[in-house]
Amino acid sequence: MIKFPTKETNIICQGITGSTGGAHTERAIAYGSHIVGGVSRDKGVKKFLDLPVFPTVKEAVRKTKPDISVIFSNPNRVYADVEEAVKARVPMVICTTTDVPYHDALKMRELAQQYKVCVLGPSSPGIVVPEQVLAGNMPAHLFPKGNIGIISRSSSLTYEFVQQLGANGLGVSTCVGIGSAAILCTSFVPVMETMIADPKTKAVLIVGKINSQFETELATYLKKKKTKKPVFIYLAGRPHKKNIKPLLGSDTQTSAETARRKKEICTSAGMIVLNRFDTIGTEIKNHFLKRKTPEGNTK
Amino acid sequence: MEIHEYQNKRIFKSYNLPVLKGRVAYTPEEAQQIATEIGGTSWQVKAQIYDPNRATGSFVDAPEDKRSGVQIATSPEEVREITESMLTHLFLSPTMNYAGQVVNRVYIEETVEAEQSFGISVRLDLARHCYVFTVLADNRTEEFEISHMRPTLLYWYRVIQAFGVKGFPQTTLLNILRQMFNIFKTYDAIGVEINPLILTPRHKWVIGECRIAFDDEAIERFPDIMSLKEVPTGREREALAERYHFKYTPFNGNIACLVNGSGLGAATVELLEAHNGRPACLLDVGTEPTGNAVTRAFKLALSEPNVEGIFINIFGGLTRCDTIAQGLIDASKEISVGIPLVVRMDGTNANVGERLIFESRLPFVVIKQPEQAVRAIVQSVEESQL
Repeated sequence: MIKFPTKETNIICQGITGSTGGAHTERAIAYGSHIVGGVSRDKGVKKFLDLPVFPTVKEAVRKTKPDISVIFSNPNRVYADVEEAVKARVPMVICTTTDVPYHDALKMRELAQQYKVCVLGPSSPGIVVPEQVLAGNMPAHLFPKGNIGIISRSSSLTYEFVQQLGANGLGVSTCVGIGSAAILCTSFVPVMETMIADPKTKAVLIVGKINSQFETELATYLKKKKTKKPVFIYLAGRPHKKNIKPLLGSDTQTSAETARRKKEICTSAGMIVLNRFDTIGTEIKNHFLKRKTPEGNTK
Repeated sequence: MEIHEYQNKRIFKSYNLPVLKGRVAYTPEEAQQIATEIGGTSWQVKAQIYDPNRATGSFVDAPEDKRSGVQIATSPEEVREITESMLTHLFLSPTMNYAGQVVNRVYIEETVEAEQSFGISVRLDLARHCYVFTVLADNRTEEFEISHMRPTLLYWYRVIQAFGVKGFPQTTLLNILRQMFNIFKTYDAIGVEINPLILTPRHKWVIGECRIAFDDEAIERFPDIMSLKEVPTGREREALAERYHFKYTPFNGNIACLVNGSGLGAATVELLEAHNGRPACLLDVGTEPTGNAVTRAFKLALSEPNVEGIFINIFGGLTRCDTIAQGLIDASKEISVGIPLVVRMDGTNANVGERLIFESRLPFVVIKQPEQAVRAIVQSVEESQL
């Protein structure tokens, strides 16, 4: 289970003096997030955006007691930054960096498990609680407030879906981006546990991918858990054909095979599989309309 | 990123691994010379190309029996002849979805008698989140997961057992496995493979073929490897896309797709194919592109051969649609488009973006609804073919 942020959650930003880190922090503040400070390797910077800036996460933890650290760093250095935050025992770390080398991502995952810290990512766009908190780099202005929780592995599709929900009079309770990388530190399950327990969330939309095991893991969990909240899932395909010969022993299944099986697994766990990306909003709305119709009147 | 066989073998050699004797040659004379220096009675002449199926691909303009990318010569003169027939010739393979490669160097290698052949790989298993060794022995593969990223002595023992061979010093095999793992870790590689790993009648282990699959995201850490990067013929656009930090996926169709974000890209291709559209390529500029990136990507998509239509699917998050629209307008001022183009644009400032394109009087079709947009591009491409 993870802890969703509120207006009172203390958030720091690692890499605050960088152009990306600075811009996103400024937007988060404007959105209403409680940003309490930043960490920067730039020597001599003591203040930025009117916030205290510390040379190490350890010092930031001592002075500001953060609940979340959002990291903006470059792919080749981000492992060290995550390590610093995890070892300083920040309870939740959001790694927004994309294109992180596989070996580093795997090390990150091992570290998070060892220290029992919730690390989102790599390449997580963070968390949005509409009209309350933005921790990360999502375009929070697109998120209408509502009661659908989103757990996503694709940021571009999340924004697309959020807009569609809004157009259909629906909205979002909390949106968590667990990251679009192949190796992730946090899977769907711990976030789903919180979504199920969250009274503001009435239904959950999962944005998953065909070629990963995270969705299968979620299906196994949901089979046991048997939640009453409807769980919708969209599975993005894999267009990536590489010209490189697969290594001995690596997966050679075709994507069509995988897609069909994956959808079966999700359906058998009680999830509602949505097949088309451009009608997500209407399909979810129709689902709710159908449920409200008294029995016998449908069709 | 891939490197050539001889470059891979050079790395393996520097790790004291038993690579067959061999050297790279750029001319037929050099090849003959190398064969003489290596000695023996037969040699392999191997075309140096990035091809998953060198043995099954072919030199298209060669006689039937001389088409293979790997050929055996029984005299240094024959080494020269074969080299001559390979150099500057075009090599095609059914598995390559690009035009083929012109061979400009060959690897001359000694031959060896094999009593038994094995395959072995170590790779990152993305599904299980661990390192895995795979042993191929007697047409059976066995996998060994490394837990907590560190192999124990017991672990190595189990892997060696999988080879099922007895009565030879196992320390050599253990050394090969350990060095393989070293290379894998040192280069932050996706995987390292030796196939075949040959056991000779005199019970010596030698490496027939070996390669390292490098992780593109980690490659900057290894300037010595990066300097080996070559752009094969037909893959220039791929290389250019990489330089701009776009994700480029080639397909075989005629509609170039430009998107922001990999999930949106996958969904776009799926929707296009569902409406009988055939993508030529997928160009992903990243979730939050700059206007400049869109301009570059647009030009790149236009340079695609066989492209008869362009479909742009952009969802503006932090990057506003007006920025993207301006990027498209700027690009089409520099080069003429001349083929059907449909823009599907939604998200932040979508209306402003749409108005900008409309006011530019460019013949772009702007449609908000994805399915209608896909229908529009497929239809206009069909009509333009009539």
